[in-house]
Amino acid sequence: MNNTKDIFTAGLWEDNPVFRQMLGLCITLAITNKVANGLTMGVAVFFVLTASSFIVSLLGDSVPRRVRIPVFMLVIATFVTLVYMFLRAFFMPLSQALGAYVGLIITNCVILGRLESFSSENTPWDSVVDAAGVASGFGLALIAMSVVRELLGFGSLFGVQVLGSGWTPWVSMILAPGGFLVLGLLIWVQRAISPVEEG
Amino acid sequence: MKKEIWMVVILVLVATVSSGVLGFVNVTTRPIIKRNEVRKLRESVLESVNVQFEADNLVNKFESEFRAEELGGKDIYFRYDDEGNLTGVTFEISGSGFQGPITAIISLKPDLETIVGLEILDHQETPGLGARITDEDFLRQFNGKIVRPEILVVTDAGDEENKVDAITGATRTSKAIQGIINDTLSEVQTNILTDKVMERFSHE
Amino acid sequence: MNRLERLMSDISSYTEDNPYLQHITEVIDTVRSIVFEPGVSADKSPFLRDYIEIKRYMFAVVLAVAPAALASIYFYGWRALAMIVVSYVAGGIAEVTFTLIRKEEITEGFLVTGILFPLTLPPNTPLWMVAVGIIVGVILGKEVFGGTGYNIFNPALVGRVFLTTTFPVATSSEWLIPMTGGWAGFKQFSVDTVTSATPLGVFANSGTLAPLRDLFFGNIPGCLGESSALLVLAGGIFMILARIIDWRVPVSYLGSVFLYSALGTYLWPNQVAPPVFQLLAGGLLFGAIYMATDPVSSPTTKEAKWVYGVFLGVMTVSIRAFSGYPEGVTYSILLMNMFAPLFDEMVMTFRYGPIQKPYK
Repeated sequence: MNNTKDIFTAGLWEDNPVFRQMLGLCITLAITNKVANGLTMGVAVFFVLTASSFIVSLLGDSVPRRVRIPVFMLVIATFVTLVYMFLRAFFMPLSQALGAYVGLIITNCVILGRLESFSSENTPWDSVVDAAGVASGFGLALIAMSVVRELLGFGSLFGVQVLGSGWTPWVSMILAPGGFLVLGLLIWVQRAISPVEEG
Repeated sequence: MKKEIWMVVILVLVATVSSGVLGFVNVTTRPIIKRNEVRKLRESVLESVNVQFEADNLVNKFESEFRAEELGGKDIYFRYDDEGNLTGVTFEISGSGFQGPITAIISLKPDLETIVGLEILDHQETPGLGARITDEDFLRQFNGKIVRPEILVVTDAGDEENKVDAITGATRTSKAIQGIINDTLSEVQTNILTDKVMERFSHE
Repeated sequence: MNRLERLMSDISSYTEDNPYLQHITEVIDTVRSIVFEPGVSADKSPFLRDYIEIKRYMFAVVLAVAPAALASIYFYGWRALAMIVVSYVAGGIAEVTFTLIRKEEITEGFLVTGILFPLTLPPNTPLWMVAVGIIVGVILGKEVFGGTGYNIFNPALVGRVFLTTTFPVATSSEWLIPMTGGWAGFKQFSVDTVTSATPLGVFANSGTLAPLRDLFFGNIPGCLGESSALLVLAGGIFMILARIIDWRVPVSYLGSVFLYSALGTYLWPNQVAPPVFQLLAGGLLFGAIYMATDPVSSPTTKEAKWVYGVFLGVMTVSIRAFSGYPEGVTYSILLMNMFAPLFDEMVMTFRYGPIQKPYK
């Protein structure tokens, strides 16, 4: 795994954290009922993941194996708290819409998973590329889901009415069932485009 | 032995750097966050008594209209007319909604029964359904309603002075609003406000 | 062998040999199989892949539901028929698309889903919603599991639940008052007298009971097919006599509703409606007869059918009495659909000992 492009596209598509690895589903299901929320969460995860990947890969071998998880958690928590305070200070409405989920990025297994399996054993450059790929894949999934859900659920995109004022909102799309249905359907689509190799 | 020390050193180092960064950012952003919250609160308080304001005269407007006072651990905003007579009381009410806590601002006449206005501060209700409690159409209904014996949020309110129309498809949230108003009001009336307001009536 | 059967058999063999009439043999055989097939019903899901059995079952159900469908036109005008047509067309397209992609034969299972689904909807459901509902029912209720015979849930009810959760305002806040007297709905396209609640909704809000006579004959607001208890019952008795459905599920379902609500109305008179009202109001009869007996999604062993019916009854009355919803038939049946295979497996384990799984 030395080719930069391969590392990036693996995270973005073939090993997409949501559609393939089924990680970080809690956030994915909870906040994707509006595109603005999905995008903000995508950007927040992108920042946290790339930044903590970079730091962890710099630390590299100097972290003893037995304390690596606490160290990872500290690094992640630092960046998540940064994002949290930043959003509350400058994007109050968005921060209210995302509620507790910004704080819960700390427990997002996409992030810990990448640190554990990739960044701690690779060069800073590769780690950042990998993190950017995976985070983009995560953001792609969030945005894809929230586009479908906001479009059907509100008839709008980014809060702008695009399907006309006569659109009947599909309420279940905004609620949890819509999250599960759309996630299932998108996984179906993703796997139809590039089928999983059996075995 | 060396390994263990190294472990501790690394952890302490990372923790120190992390808390240093966070402390710094916290100090920088806290005033802004606090200002956001106060601003939101003041906007809601002013909106609840239907006073027009601009973004730049919010503070002046608020201070000229209201006098804040802490009673029984609760911030209460009193409003007086030019002669110094009490014309209204505004405070925060909260309780559990259908999905999570709801906080709102309610303004009352000095009789503590007639609603002047209601504004939602924060809620987690379902977008498109329960979240419609923030709609003007829903909130404006409360203006002039009388909480006696209690306010009722029902499907077919008619013109009765203690009833408002519920939100179609969001019965639970509508009932939650009803409960929050009734419960908080009776508590505030009996425990905190009545004496105070009566006192002011007779003195001023 | 009576004369009619012999005649049919003669016609069939005649058309088979005649080069010009050959292609209608299948139609004749279908009619024969509906009317004369021995009343032995296979008791395992795989029979659904059997051509004759499924055809016989499906046509008989459509026949049995026809009176209720006609009644819905009588009560609510020709728009009811339009809803059925839309359901057949939209659902048919979804079904055929999938069978073509999968290169399978088209099965008749859809004929039943296509007519039962619109009958479970409020009469003023917009036609495009009917189309959305049946497509979701066919795809998410059936095709994603592998097609007819493999579905866990009743596809018509999956479509219905999707509509009621997705469009709560359109599907549960307004009901139409049925027309009666003379030709009623046969003379017009739609009804526009609106009311805010069904008898169950009225009871949940105010505790007032609708007259039993109206509930029995159908002069009450409600979903298309459920209005007239009389016609639904007639269809059920026909299907039980023709051995299309097993009597155990409806009997245990309705019986447990009766017993539980008799007890419940004594203990909590404000929440639980009296038993006869419970039986006649809402979609209970329709659900017990046409939905809970669906051969694919209900249990196949006798004992499991009893257990299934009893659980359905308890759950329906509980939802009606103690939840925010006035009606609970749809949710009860979908929930119990999940348990049907488990009940069957428990019965088989009791009977034959632990089941050897062919896979690990």
